[in-house]
Amino acid sequence: MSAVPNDTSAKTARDFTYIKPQRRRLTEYEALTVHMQPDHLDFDRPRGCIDEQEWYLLRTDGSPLWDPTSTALKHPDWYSYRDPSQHWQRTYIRHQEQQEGAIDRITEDAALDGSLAELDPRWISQVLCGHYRAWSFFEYAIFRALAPAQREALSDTVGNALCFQSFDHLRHAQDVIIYLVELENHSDAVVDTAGKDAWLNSPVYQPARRLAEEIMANRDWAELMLGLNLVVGPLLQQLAVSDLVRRNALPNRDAVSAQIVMTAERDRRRNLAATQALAQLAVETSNPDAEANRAVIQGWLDDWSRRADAAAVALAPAFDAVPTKGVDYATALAAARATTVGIITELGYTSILGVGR
Amino acid sequence: MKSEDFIKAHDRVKEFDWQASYAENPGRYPMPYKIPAKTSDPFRHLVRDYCAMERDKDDRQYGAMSDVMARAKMPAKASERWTEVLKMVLPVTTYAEYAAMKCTGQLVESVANAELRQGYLAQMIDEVRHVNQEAHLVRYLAKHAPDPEGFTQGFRLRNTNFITRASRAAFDGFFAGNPIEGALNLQVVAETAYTNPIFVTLTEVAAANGDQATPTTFLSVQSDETRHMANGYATLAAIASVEDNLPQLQRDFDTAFWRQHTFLDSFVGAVYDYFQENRGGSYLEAWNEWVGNDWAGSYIRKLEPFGVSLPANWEEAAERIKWVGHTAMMLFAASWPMQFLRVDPMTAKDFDWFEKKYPGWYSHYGKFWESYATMTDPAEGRFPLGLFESPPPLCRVCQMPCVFPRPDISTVRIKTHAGRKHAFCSDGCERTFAIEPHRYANNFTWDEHFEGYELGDWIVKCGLLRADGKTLIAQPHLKRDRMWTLDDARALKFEIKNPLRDLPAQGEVLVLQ
Repeated sequence: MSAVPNDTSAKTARDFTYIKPQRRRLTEYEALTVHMQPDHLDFDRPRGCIDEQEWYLLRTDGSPLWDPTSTALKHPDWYSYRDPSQHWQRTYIRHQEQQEGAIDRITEDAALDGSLAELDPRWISQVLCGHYRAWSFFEYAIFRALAPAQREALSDTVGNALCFQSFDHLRHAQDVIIYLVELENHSDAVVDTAGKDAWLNSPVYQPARRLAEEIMANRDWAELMLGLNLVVGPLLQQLAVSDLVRRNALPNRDAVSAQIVMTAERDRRRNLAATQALAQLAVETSNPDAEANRAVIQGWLDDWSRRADAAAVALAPAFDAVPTKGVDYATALAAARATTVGIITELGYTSILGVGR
Repeated sequence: MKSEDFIKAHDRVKEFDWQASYAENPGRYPMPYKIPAKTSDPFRHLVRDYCAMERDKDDRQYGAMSDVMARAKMPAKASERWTEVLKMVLPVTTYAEYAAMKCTGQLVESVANAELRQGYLAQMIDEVRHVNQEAHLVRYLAKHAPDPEGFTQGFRLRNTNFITRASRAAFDGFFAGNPIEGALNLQVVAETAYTNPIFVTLTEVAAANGDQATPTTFLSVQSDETRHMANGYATLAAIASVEDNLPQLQRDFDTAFWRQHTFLDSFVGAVYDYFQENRGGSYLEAWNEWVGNDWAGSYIRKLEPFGVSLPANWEEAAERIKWVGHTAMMLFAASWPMQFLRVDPMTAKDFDWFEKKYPGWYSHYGKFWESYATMTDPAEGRFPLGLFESPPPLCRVCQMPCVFPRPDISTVRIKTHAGRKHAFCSDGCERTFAIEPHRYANNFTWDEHFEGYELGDWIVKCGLLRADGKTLIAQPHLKRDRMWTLDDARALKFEIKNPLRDLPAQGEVLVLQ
């Protein structure tokens, strides 16, 4: 075996020293994520004789591959963003495999110990099929919206966080389907098509459906991330899934639904933390566009709060359909609004939803 | 889950899309194709079984690398000649994976079919997986290889090295255009035609040269690629089933093939044939098996009844394949101080192998490699590119030197468009440009960026020095002693030129409508 001389290799760095770690040492997440996306403004700029920004191949319409106008927010270095969860693919998939394994095991246990056969048919038909299955379409819409959002995001660290969140929501949507398929083996009350019927036709879901369609048509990746995780998650998904399904599940002796929702809540907490980090980055004092960003974010929060709240208000009849009530609609809505206001005000913004707790 | 339940669940996830009533999404990507409502994802994965499958694969790959291989110091035992080229190969493949992730995001948005959309999501996460796996391999080798210089800088040098710049020009095609153009570049050409020669056959070369880390990573990557090929086939079959799509489809297919061929065949050919120490098969043999027989002879031929033909320049590509890797390697070795790896001379054993695998090789390339071997000592004060009267210009489209397939039969042409001069390496690249010249308006070549730089200044600027601040990362040999320094490079008195500046144009590009 040969090797290069000791006098040149002795002091040689054996890591990616060009990445600025957020903390003292470069983490595995940072090493495998940062600067995977070419940064034509800075890191990847050849800095030779040509000042113009270079693109090997523009888009069909002549715009650049990564377009600064893909979000209304401005920041000189989106690559400095770090997802607090520090997920890279391996840690993310391991986490989701554990969550799916937990759901799979509890479903199997509930099937074998007779719990599924003992479920109240009204809980199955009115809540699981009539509501939760309808809600799976909302989750699917978020998956669809975030897949192109990750494409457009202006750094790898933001893009990967959006990519993982996109996966979160399809996982949740599919979990509802898989659970109902298993329930069909134990109950005649399952009518899978009821969910889509409700989603398309019931007035209870039309504001949510409108919001889902607007989410899919939204082209601003930062707006999607902030709107979904600072408003839709704590207000609408909290109400539609955490309150209506999870908090009513145990009074209706349905441990499986509670487990499914708890895994989605774990994802939601992760995505909230990721978004709080993005919101803070956008307005950090070193960003010359901080104040303009603050105004943009305030506008987004107001707009998304209005639309998400309309969808939340429309859900009231769905709470009436719960056979054994663990939580009442008015209390749940007030709490979800208060939580959302708390998240918004903690970041230094005002909320149209009132005073937080 | 029982298999009948799995089938039932999978049937239901196909029904997730609905017709919008409140906010129609006009689509953010141009889509000059009609997508039929009925298509299929032949793999029928649900997120649950996907996560279990991928976790298992991750545990096996990362476990092997962090446990047995690291403890046994296996990276240090691999052929150094082979290990050197991984410094460039891995940043190139990693970017291909990253670009693929962006492509699948576009496909989820644009292909109005819930089943395919969920197949694309699995691919999207796969591509994040591959980015992480390959970046992890770079970092692993930076930690464990005898010479880490080059491994630690590869990603940083992506846009200042003329070969890695050409890889960007190829892989940006995965997501710069309409989503189907991206799918053709990625799934139909790069993944279906080229991942087998890269991730399967190349790993045989790696293993034969004592490198176990690359096969462990690449074969795990390749285990996902079968699904991606199926995604590509499902997409292609769906598009081809609508007759109105066929003219656009064939046009996008032709350009996709040429865009990938111009970079991949010359680059992978050079890697495959010139960095083996313990020699086995040739790239030409691998290409004939996987690209010629498997892809063109089987996969694409099956689409002929649908009206999809082999790419327009297929025959030309099949002829070029005999030489493009050698030509690329000659230019690469000739410009070794500008690289970030060590390129050792070919030996008598190598010469015999080349002549056997590529009859006629010596008459075209033998003299160059004999000369190269005489210039490895800095005391000689020569490097091959300095002896060229004028280096070839770089192609506006593929960014590769316009010297293919061989310098004596080069298909270079110089044309103007909109008052700007362009070199094209081939008919295929000129035609690709002529279809959409506006997409190259912000495209510059390496020569245009760096003309006028003295070699030493350029090396300092690009950070191509080792930790001692004076020895070059690149070397024209693998020896411990007599390494080239910055002073040696300056003594060459070489100035980077833009050959396009002095070459006369042969006319205007005929823009195709």
